[in-house]
Amino acid sequence: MKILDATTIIAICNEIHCPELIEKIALLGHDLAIPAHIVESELLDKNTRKTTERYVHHNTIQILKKNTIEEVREFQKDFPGLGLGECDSMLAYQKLREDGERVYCILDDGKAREKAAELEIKFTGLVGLLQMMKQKNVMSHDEIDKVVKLLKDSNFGSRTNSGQIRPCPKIGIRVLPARVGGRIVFKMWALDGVPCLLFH
Amino acid sequence: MGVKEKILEDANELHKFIILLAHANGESIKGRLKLQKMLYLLSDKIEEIKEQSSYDADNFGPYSEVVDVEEEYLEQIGVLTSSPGEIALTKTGKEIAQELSKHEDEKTLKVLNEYKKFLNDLTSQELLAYIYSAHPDMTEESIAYENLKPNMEHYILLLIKKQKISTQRAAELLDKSQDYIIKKMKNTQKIVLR
Repeated sequence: MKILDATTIIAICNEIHCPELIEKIALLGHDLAIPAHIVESELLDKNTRKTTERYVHHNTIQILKKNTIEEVREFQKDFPGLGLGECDSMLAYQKLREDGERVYCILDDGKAREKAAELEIKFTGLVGLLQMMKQKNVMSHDEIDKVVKLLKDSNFGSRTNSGQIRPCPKIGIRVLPARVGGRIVFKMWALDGVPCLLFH
Repeated sequence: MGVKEKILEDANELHKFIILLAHANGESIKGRLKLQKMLYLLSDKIEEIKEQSSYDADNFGPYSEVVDVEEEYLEQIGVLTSSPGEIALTKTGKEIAQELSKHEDEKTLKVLNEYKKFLNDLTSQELLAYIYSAHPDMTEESIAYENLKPNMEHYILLLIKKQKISTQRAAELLDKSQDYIIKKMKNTQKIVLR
């Protein structure tokens, strides 16, 4: 199971405006789930909520009800910098792992990723998913290039006036040109510094 | 009986947690305001602190007179030293802290480290903005809140920039959608440098 966090959904729906990416993520295999707290709270704005509800209605995304709100609030007391949706995801991950299920979280917020790493939670982000889509031929190179450009131009990644890519400290990606074997390629990094995608 | 033995045997939970907080992450506590607020947030998690600290809403948010009194007592008997913006352990204090750490469970020590890391390097305004937005009941009686209120969003966004909180947590604290916070990060030009 892949547990989606609100930040990734917002990136897809409201930043790069590619809601169909959710269907492509589902094509990667494993169930796609979103913690109940994210859907039930006021975290998502009208547009993001509408898209999410549509995919829930079509069973592309399941609503994950693994934790009570009291459990989530208790978990948050250990990590005061995290949102309830992120805590819901991480707690659900721990419970599913205890049940022996294959599961990972999809997190695109730097703080959430930092804590997930501390808790030894397996996670990836939107960039990692793009990499999987490339490997599994779920999307063509052109389609991925288009998404990368949109991400680069969104609040999730930016370029300074000097032409260098500067990471935003919380969320996003970096894309830098590099020369590999005489060819120019583009490398993408998640903000935790892990190279996760290479475009030819 | 020496100071070390006295503290180890007095079974005062506040003494224990003040000393362990001063010891956490190997750095001093950056002033009394920080100590007050750390123990306040921890009182929501650790029952022994809640029972002994009796926090009330005050001019600068939650305040416990008992915490001040016990901190001063620990200074008087030579466990802590205090100067403006710094509360540190003395040599005896460090020995006591090491002994207390041995008998404390690892999860509690982790929580103390987490809260100290979270709060210790915040400015007073950032600290109060977090406390007031996470615990709105503590805005009563507060003179500081009235001054902070118009800039609450600014200080909460600074907490994202300092990597203290996630955008989702900021949305909860400001009672906004997470979409709004992400857009705001761009508008403030503190994050995106395009």
